[in-house]
Amino acid sequence: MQNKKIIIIEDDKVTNGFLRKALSEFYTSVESYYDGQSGLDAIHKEKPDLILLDLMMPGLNGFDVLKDLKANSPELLNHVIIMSNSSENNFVATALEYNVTSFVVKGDYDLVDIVEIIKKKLN
Amino acid sequence: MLKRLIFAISILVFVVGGILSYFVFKQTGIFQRKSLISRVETVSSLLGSEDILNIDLLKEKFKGVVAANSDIRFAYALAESQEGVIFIADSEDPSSPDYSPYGQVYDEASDVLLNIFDTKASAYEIASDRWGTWFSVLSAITLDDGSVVVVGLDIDADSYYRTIYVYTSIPISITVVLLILLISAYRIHKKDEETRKVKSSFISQASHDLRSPLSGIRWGSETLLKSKEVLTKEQQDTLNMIYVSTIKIASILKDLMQITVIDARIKKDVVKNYCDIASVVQESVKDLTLFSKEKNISIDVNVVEGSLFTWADAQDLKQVFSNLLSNSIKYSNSGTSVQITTTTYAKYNVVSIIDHGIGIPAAEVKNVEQGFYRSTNARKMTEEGTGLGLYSAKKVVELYRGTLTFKSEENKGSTFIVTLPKANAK
Repeated sequence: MQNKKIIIIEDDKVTNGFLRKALSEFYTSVESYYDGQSGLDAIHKEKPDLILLDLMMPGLNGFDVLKDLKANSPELLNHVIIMSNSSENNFVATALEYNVTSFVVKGDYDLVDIVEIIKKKLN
Repeated sequence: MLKRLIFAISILVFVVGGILSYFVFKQTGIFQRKSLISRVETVSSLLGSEDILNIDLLKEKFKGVVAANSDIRFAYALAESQEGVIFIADSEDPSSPDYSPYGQVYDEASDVLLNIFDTKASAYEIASDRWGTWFSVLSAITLDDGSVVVVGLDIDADSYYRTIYVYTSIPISITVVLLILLISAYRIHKKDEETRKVKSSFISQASHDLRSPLSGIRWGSETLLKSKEVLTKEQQDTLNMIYVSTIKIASILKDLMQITVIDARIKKDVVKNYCDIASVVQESVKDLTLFSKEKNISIDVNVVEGSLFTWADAQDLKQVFSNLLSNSIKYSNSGTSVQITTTTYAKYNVVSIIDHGIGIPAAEVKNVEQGFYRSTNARKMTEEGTGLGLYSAKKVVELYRGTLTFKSEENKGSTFIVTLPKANAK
């Protein structure tokens, strides 16, 4: 088990739960947040090694979180993996402008593949 | 683009229609005046001194003129005397209240009328007198004794204006009808665009919203399948079926989202790079080699690299050729071949893909072209597929001003022909 801090910001409870469960097998600290604001507060407080960020969320959405990070903790943008189900070009292009690590379309991957992507990133 | 074209045509129609209407308005007036002056000159040219002196005969002739010309209300002859301008004869019957006997003074004579006695030149005027408002044409006759008589024809001024308005209303009406048609075309186009947007945004939103719960089912069955030791063989099989079905739905949703993206891109400018079609074709062939081997189908490639260029996004073109090629392989029988050939013409590059597979039944060609449809024989052959492959390939080719056509015969095979504009050397 690796000593890494991961924060998941995803409003869909089932998706969030699966990700947390799968990642908890490999990492010591995996925390779930279900809206942008609480996730952002946790990021500033915890300074995690990895942030899994959904884009379309009620209230503060993924883009708002990215905007805040760019203004206040730009070094953390490199720790972000976008996990969205919107694969439209403009979504991907806008998200990648923030220099995030990668853009993963959740629905296209098995959980095991997503864990692999995360493992590669953290190694 | 269409919006701008309709706007430009509307402005053109408005300006041309306006100029034409003004021209008709002017010309109808001129034509009427010329025609009436020529009529009054004809009448006066037929009258000699003896006619003027024979008042009864003159009156009969004027009556004849009015009877023969329905637009003319009065015909008359006037002369100058010491009392002023006097009537010699008119076309009215003595019983008529409008009758003017010989010698009756016409004290409403206008300057135009008075001038004619001096200038002897034909003239016209719109003037009012005790009988109403008239458009009058006047012509002078010089008698043997040197005196001057003016012959006049009057038509109702309202009738004169009405003729001008009726003729002018024709170009105005045509202009208005054309403008209404153009506005309707614009509104229909706008409505189509809105419907398309709503459809696109609905499919996009629905696909997005369906993906999240689907991930849950997919990941849930995946997680359970990992714990094989606690599941019976039957439970594992059932879970596996759930897992495979979920992946199929995910793939359909992916295609649906792709279609909305393609549909949306139709309206926008696309990125175009100088692109070597042959090398894109080669890449697609390479990607599908394994698949073709699995199905025991040979791919005959007849492509000359470095000779066919177009302006397009290489990824988009690869998607087109991979799509067509994989369809040809998928719907071919084992042991047959698929030929892919490139040809270059003066203005176009052509890529043709020929297979000897199941073909598309003639009655279903139209449905296949419109997308979301799989032919009956294709469905019999395999359950896999969304019926969007050919549709999306066609849309992408059209983005780059190309065409995608196909010929197909059931149980004989299909030929897909992609035509793309030729790019000149960089």
